[in-house]
Amino acid sequence: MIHSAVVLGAGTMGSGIAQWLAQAGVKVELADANLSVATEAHKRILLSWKALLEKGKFTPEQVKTFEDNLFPIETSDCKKDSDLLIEAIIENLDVKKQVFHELDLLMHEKTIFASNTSSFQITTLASRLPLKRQKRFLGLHFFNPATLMKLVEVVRARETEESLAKNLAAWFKSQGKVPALCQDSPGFIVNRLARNFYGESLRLAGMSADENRLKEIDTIMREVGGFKMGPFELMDLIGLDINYQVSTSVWEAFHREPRFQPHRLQASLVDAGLLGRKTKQGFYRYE
Amino acid sequence: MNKPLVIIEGDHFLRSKIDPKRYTLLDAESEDLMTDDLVDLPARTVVFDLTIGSADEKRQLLECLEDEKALVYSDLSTVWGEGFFENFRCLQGAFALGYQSPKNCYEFYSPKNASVIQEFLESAELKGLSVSTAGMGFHFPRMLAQIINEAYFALEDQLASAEDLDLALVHGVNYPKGPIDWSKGMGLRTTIYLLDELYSVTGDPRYRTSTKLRLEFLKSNR
Ligand SMILES: NC(=O)c1ccc[n+]([C@@H]2O[C@H](COP(=O)([O-])OP(=O)(O)OC[C@H]3O[C@@H](n4cnc5c(N)ncnc54)[C@H](O)[C@@H]3O)[C@@H](O)[C@H]2O)c1
Repeated sequence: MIHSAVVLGAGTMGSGIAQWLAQAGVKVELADANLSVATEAHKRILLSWKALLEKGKFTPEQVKTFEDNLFPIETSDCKKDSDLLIEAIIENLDVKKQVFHELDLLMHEKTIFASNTSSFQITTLASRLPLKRQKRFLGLHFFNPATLMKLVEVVRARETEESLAKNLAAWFKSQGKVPALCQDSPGFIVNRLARNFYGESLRLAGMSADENRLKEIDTIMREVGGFKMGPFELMDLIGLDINYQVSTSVWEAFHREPRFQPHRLQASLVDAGLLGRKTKQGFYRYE
Repeated sequence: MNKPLVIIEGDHFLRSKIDPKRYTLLDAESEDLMTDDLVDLPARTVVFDLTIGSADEKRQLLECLEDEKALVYSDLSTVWGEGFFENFRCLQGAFALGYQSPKNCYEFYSPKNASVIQEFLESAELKGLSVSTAGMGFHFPRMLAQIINEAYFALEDQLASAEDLDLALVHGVNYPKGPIDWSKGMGLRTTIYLLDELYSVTGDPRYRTSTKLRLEFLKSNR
């Protein structure tokens, strides 16, 4: 179903998505606000394939095919009748809307438009485009690292053709991904349903943030719950600022529904610049 | 010394693991449980209460055991354990077997007699993890109840199918099980009892139970 794609935004997600698509046999063009970013991302992907080849994960023939599938380009030079366009640029509503408006004028009407946004409604992103485009516009929410994480949330916006979402989901499945079809609602599935893993653990800990208490909760969630990581070690890894920002955005989008209310402890650590592993201190200290 | 008494429901996952040579088994479904079966229990009989109940049901049972001067170790996974310890002197310890652990490991709280619970869990081939408080639904039950509740709110909103909700959490954030699947495996009442207790004790609307969860509970009756 998908033979060619354009990925716009060559950051963490865009380059992961482009790499995965190339591995799935799709001809992918990778673009960014300026060509050098796409070229650098392209180099990193080539190095990653080289490393995977050395580890024996792929054969030389496979890697050769992958390499032939991936091209860094200037956005204006992209194949105008690509099957799919995935936007993975900076999380800014106005910028995304403007970019989609320009792409709509540039691309063939058959091209499917998708956004990898985590926090905006797909319907909002598509709202100013012609109805014809809106019918072929959906959310494709990948998880980091996109080459390894199997889930793709396939999000139907208000006008998205049902068959389009279903067919794309079937295509992802045929390529080894695990698609989950969902409605266009704040946080989609994961960022909404996983909120309580963080929110409830913070209520269990209370304001004291006593390290022994946090360790106890983390240990219980691993040893009893069978989760790979406890909530506090996971928040430290994700970054408290990012986690807090997602919590706040879901809470606001649900009109401050109490179930999603962020916790004061989170806010106070973020305000103090204790963001987790990246600042060497969050809920825990790291040497 | 009398054999310890184990009060347990017929469909409890540990039922077949309790050795009748070591423990006297008492069927929790027995209609006379409160009146006849427990009256005249020799004083200081050790009782393991494995029933899953609402806060009211637990209170009734513990009042009865308190009258009989039993030494009680109770499953407090669905109630405000910390409050129960203040109210019932018969309570020696508590555990949280009501919420299925994928690692066969369960929380327990017993500041004085940890070894009694540890031994009991081992006899049933389970691992125990001693924790600093029975809190309100301990830790894992409370976290899981909230995750499950949100999954049912999502069903209520028709966000996605139950299968897709489960798949998303297993493959998007590596959960060991999908929340809908998890909830059904252990029975929906466990989650409802605990959420009702959290809501009633704290008055916090974040613990409001999803209507869909209640409806599914009525349909499945477990
Ligand atoms: N990081 C994650 O874990 C994650 C997971 C799922 C979804 N997302 C979403 O994916 C998107 C990208 O996130 P990221 O983490 O890859 O960000 P990033 O900052 O790593 O990359 C964003 C890229 O977009 C480029 N860009 C900015 N404005 C542009 C424009 N006008 N035209 C073209 N390119 C432009 C930037 O130069 C940058 O390379 C966001 O919408 C984010 O919400 C992120």
